Amino acid sequence: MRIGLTLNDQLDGEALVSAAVEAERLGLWAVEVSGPPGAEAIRAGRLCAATERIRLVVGFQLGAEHPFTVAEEISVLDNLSAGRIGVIAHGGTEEELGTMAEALAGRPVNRSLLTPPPVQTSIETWTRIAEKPEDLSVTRGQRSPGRAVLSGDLSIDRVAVDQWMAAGCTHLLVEWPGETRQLARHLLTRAAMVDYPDIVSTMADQLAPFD
Amino acid sequence: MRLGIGLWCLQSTAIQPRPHAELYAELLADARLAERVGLDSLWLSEHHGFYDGYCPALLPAASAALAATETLTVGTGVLLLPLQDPHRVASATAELAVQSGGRFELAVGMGYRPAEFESKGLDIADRLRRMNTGLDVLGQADLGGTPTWIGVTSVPAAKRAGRRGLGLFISGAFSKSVVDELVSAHRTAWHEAGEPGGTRPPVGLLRNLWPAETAAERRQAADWVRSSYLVYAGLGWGADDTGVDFVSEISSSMDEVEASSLIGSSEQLAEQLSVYDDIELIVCRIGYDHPPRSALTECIERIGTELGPLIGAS
Repeated sequence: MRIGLTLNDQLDGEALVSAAVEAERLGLWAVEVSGPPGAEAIRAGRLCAATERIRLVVGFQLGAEHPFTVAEEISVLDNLSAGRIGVIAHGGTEEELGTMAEALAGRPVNRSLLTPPPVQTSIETWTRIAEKPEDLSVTRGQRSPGRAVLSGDLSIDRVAVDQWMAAGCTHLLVEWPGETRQLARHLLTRAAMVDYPDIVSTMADQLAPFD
Repeated sequence: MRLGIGLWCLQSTAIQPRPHAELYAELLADARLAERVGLDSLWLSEHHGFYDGYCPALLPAASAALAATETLTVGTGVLLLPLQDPHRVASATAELAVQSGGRFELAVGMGYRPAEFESKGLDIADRLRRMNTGLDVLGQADLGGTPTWIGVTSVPAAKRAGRRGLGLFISGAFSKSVVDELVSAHRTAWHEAGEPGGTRPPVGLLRNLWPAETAAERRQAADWVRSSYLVYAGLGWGADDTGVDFVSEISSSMDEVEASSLIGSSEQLAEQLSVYDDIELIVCRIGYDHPPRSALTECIERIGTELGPLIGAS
């Protein structure tokens, strides 16, 4: 199971960038970026320039703006990031979601193709993210994203990570109150292996303690 | 006088096909270069659904360019407001103002290509109403102090900008007399509307411009400018009542484009720009699809390091 870090949407510019850069440095799979409609794409654009490798999962609110326009923003972000964008679509009708997906897939919408096309062959777009392990939708071969608010207390969070993995979660976006390096050392490791031997993290704390 | 460069359109054209991701990476490199050579600003341009990938979403691109720089202003020249939800544009603009420390400027225009409206289920006949509604929304929103301009190609549009106390952003290929007419209409309308905002709104002017020393360089630069406009002639797009109409007056319009272009040594360019000394912002239009990248970067350097000091650019 891969773990991504949900960036608090109250973070100001420099804090937003440093949180994303730190997550990238520590090998997290993604950061999740959100904000008020319109601002989310601006925050994501900033991170496209500030990072090089980490995936940027951007939450878009559908409904007010035309879905073709949202698709255009997604594609520009995918080009700015050289193919690192994922999308969480909040709200929107089936029709709007379908229009956005058609544009991103490369078929004309109202006789117009999305240009430039995204860098990626397909943009991973999630319309539903489980908030609890028991709500996961698991289909063989498909991604099953979840979202967890972790406590920062590793004795509790290890159990939570195990529950998400056992339920079949493939990508877990977490709100994490502690230092990102603790998340990387103790929980990314745990999520990267079935039956992770926790002594590895314990020994890492002894061999290379954080300041 | 402020001195900027434009228009960054992020196109992969038939003349010079490129990967789009490379163009977006070069946008950031060009913004850093512009900043390093002392330029005031870099301006982006928007279209939709054209084969070359002409940038359809300026605000995320502006955000990245601003993140890559520290002092440079980045602007839209122009964002097509009737095609977008103005509340969303206002929210994005406010975010850009905060994130960039006030280095973003928003110029908006109406758009003129029917297919762009159709792609969003809109009717181009509705564009003026949508433009005015959008300007009302922007006028009432907190944009974090973002300077706002209206891009114009006609006297009525110039008056619209003046009445609202907004900056006037003038398209690139017009003669001095047309520019004077637009500026006069803008200033008169601002005065007659009771001088909204209290301070006379600025005028920005796009000029096709290229530093060149020899006759051969000048001819080549003129060809680059002409070729960038030929697509307009081929596709039947134009601006009415300005002396530049690629629909009915192709030949004279192409001559007008070349005649209004400033091509020469930095000293000659400074001399030619001196007739615009009552204009607050000159945007040197150098974003053509034909010149090799090395020519573009040299052009940016010369505008920043040679032309800027000669005209006393701030």
